[in-house]
Amino acid sequence: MIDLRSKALIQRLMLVTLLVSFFSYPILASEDVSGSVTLEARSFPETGAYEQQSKENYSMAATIKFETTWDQDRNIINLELFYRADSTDKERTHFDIRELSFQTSGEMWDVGLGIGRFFWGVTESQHLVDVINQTDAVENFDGEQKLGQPFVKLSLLDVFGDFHFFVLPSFRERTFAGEKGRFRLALVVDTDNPIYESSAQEKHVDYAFRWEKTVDSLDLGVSHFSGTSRDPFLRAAVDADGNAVLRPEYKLMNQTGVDIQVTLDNTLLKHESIYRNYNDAGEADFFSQTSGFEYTFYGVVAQSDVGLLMEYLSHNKGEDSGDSFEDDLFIAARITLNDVDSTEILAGVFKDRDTSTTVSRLEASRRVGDSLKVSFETLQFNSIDDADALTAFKKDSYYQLGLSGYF
Amino acid sequence: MKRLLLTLVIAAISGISYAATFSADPVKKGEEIALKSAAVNDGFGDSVAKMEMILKNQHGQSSTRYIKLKTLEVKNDGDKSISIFSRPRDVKGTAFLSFTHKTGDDDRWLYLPALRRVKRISSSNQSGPFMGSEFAYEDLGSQEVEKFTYKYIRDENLGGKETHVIERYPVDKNSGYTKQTVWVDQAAFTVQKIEFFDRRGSHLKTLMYKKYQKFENKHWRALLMEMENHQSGKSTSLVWSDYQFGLGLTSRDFSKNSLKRVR
Repeated sequence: MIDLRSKALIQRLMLVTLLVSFFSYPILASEDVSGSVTLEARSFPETGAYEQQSKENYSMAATIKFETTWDQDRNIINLELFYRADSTDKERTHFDIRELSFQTSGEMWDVGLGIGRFFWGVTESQHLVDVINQTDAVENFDGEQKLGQPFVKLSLLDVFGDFHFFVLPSFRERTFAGEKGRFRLALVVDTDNPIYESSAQEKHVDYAFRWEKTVDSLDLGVSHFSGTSRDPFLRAAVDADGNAVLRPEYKLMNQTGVDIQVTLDNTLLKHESIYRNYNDAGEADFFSQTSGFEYTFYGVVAQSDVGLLMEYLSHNKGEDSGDSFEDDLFIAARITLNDVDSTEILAGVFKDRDTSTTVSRLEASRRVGDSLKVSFETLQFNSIDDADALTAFKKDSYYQLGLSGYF
Repeated sequence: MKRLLLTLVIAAISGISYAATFSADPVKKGEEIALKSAAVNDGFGDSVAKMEMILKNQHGQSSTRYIKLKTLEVKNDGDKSISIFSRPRDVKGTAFLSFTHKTGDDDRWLYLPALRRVKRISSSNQSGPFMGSEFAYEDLGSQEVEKFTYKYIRDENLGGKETHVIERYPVDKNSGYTKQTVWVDQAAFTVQKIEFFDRRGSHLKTLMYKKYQKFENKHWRALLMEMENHQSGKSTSLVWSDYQFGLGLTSRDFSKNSLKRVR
C-alpha cells in the first residue's frame, strides 16, 4: 500500500521531473547535455534492528550532465549534478555537485580545477588507494559512489611516467544513514557536529600526489596523500537535545599507496596496499592490502564471457577497528553476455577466514530499447559474527529493482 | 624484401601499372598484394571520424550505436586509436583506447565514466564481439600486414571491378579465424570484400566495403561497411561520416590521461 509519505514523495518526484524536463527542453537537442532518472524499490525481508526502520524503500535519483570539449578534446568543461529523493531516510535525500570543472592540456602537461572525481587503483572488492574523494555512503553499501571534491590539479605527462599533483582546498564530510534509514548503527551519526583535528576544520588544505607508468603488461601507480582522513572515527556523544549520538571525528593523516596490475593473456593480476600514519600519536598506524586476480573465459556459451575473480583482503588494525576486512576472501563471477542489450551479471561473496561472517552480493542489468535500463541488486548478510563490525547491519539484507531512463 | 620495397618505390614514383611485377610464387604474391594494399593506407598521419554502428538481428529489428573514432598512425608500429561512445545514452562517454602492435599483444584500456575509472583490459579477447555487434575486436583493429601470412589465389571480376583474391591466415593464436579471403581492387588496391572462416573452417561472416571515397586526394575510405553473419543471420553496418585528416593529433591525445577528456 502507498502510505501518505510515499504519496508526498511521488508528488515531489513528479514535480522534479517536470522541472527538469521544462528547463532542459531547449538544450536537450545538444549532444553536450545528457542525464538519467532512476527509480528504485528496495525490499528488506527482515524487520530492522531499530524501531523506525521500514521494510520497504522507494527512491528516485536524477543526474544531469553538461560536457563540452574543444580543440580535439584537449579542453573540457564538465558539469554533473546529482539529486536523490528517498521515501524513508531524510539523510539519503540529498543533492551533490559531482563535477564542475575545467581541464586543459598541453603536449606534456595537463591542468584542471573545480569540483571533480578521481579514481585510483585496480582491485574490485575494495578501493584502498582511492583517496581523493569522500564516499557518498548513503548511496549504496558498496561505497562506490563519491562526492565531488574541490581540487586544483597539475599533471606532468610522459616524463618517466605521469606525475599528478593535487591541492584539495576543502573537505567533504561522509554521508551517513539517518534515524529511519537502513545501514545505521545503534546510535545515529550526528553529521551536523563533526570533530576535526585540524583547527582549520573543513577548510584544511590537503595535498596529494600520484605517479603512474605503463611498461608492457605492467601498470604501476604510487601515491601519497597528506591531510584530513576521509574515514572518520565515530565517537559516542550527547547532542544538544540530550540524545546519545555518534560524532564523526576526522583526523589528520599521511597515507602512501601502491597499486599494480599485470595484464597477461586471460589473467589480470592485481595488488593494492596502503600504509597510513595518523598525525595523532594516539591512533595506531596501519597497513592494509588487497591482492588477487581476475581470469576470463571468453566465448563460453554463444558470445558470453565469464570472469572469475578472487581477492584476499587484510589489515593489521586489530579486531575492534570497525574495518571488517581483516582477513577476508572475496570470490566473484562476472558474466557478460555481449548481446545487443549489454546484459551483465556480477555475483560475489566476502568470507571472513577466521569467523563465520559471510556477505554476498549480486548485481544484474540490461538495456531495454535504446534509452531504458533495468537492474536488479541484492545484498545478503548470510552470517555475521557478533564481534564483527557488520553486526549492526545484519538485518539489512535487501532486494532492489531499478529502472533508469537516459536522455 | 629489398627487391619488393624497390619495386614499390619505383611503382609509386612512376605511377604506372605494375601488376606484372608481382612474384610468381603464390605466397610471395599474396604478401606483395597485402603490402601494396597496406601502403595505400599509409601516410594519413591522423584522422577523426564519426561512425553509426547499426545492429540488425534475424527478425530485422535494429539498434544503433554512435561512436567517434580517432586514429593516430605510428611509425614502425601499429596504429593508436580511441573509440568514444555517445549512444546508447547509458554508455555515453565510455571510451576504448587501443595500441595495436605489429607483433605481440595489443594494449587496451577502457574508461568507465560513471566511476571515472580507467581499466587496463586484456587484449587476448580478439574474437569477442565489439559492443554486441557482428564485428569482433580483431575486425576493427588496425589491419597490420604482420598479423597474417598470405597466399595469392586468383584474379576475379567482383561486381564489375577487377580484383586480386588472396587468402590470409592470422598469426595470433587468439584469433577467432583460421582463414580470411580478401578481394583487393587491382587499380586502387583498396579492400572490397572479406570472407571470414571460423576455427572449424566454416564460412562465418562476409564483410563488404562500399561507397569508397578519396580524401585529401590520397586516402581511400569506405563510408559503408556491411558485415553479415551467415551462421546467426545477424548483420552489422558501419556508416562513416565527417572524416577529417591531418588534425595534428599526437600521442598525448591517445593516452590513459586523455581518456578522461574525450567525448
